[in-house]
Amino acid sequence: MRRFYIGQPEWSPPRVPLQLPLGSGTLGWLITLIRRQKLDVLEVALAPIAQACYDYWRTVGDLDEAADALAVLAYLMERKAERLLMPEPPVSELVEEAEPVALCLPERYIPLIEYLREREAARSQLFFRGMSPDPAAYESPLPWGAMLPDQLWLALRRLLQRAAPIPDAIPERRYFSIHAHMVEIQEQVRRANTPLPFETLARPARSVLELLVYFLALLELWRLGQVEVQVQNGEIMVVSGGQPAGA
Amino acid sequence: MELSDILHALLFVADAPLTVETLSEVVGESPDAVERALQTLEQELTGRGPIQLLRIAGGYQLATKPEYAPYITRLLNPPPKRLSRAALEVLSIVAYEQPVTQAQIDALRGVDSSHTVRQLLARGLIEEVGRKDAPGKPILYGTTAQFLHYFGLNSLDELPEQPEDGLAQS
Repeated sequence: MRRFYIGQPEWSPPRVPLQLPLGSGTLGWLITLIRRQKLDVLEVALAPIAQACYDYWRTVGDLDEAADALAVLAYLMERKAERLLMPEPPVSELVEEAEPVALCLPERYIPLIEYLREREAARSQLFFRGMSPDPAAYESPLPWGAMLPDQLWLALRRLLQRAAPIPDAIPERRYFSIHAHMVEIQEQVRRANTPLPFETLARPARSVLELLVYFLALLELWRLGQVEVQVQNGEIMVVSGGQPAGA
Repeated sequence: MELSDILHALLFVADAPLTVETLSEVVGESPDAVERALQTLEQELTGRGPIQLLRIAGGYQLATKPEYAPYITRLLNPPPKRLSRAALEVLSIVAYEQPVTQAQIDALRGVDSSHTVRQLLARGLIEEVGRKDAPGKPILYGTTAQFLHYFGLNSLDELPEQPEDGLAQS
């Protein structure tokens, strides 16, 4: 069995071709961009990558390659989850060990250093309005607008209550593709050219599970700016990106 | 409405120091009138309550009084902020000698300061203020308004007087 760790020189990711909004390349190209901090993993939608990995595996049919692709996906998911859940690391503290102390600092600076140290201590006892955490930390990746998340949740819950419950034992293993659902939703919305109820879009859903897949696809399209979502009279309404929902 | 109350409201919503010029423009009063109203507000706040008006980083800002710090610390649990000795050394050189190049800082400290300079730039305590007219056009560094705010200073004039034998300009 092959053993590797992402980032080790001997490891190279499978050459899965990717066509992403930020450009085209391979899985290795994407990993390199993220590792070198040239790209924020939060900006990367994982659904198309998962789909590309799956398509690649079906073409190549090599289990080792599939395992490598899965490991990369897991790595990306972990990095994304970490970025979503963990607060931004503060600008690295000035650690004593990392910085050499002066060998020959002229005496005239010593009083100023002591003064600054005293001021720093005194200043740490003061708290200012606006010292609250960075508002960007709370920024939603979705353009919520005037619609509150709980309105959206209530509308979704109403739909879920109408859908068939998840069976205790899943009778068959079904493959749900968020990407395929995204394409389906986008196509329907574009064809309709008017606001469509999400319930209509998700009508083919046969279970709560599939309804949730539709909903995740909708959220991803919304995040990418390809559709707009509003809640009107408790109904989730979807319209093609850039059009006013009330049009 | 009293002018001091209006200024109080403006300072309450501001998340950075407001200069007299800004306040004067917003309230449509002369800078002198604003200064007088700020003095009134400063006295009122000093006399009672947990908030004080500070002159900081060239402007005015509301802050809590130090005696309330233990309670606020318990609520906010802010990360401890303490600059390293190396950082204070570099800051003291920049504060006294600005504009100053990294080579001059290195020469005064006798060690490489590039890491510390980078960290201080990232924290906004120093900034690039120009290029020295010398071979290689090295970057000149100076302190920032954030430096003043970090140390609770209103201006560089509040620093201890600089000794006579400052850095010889080369």
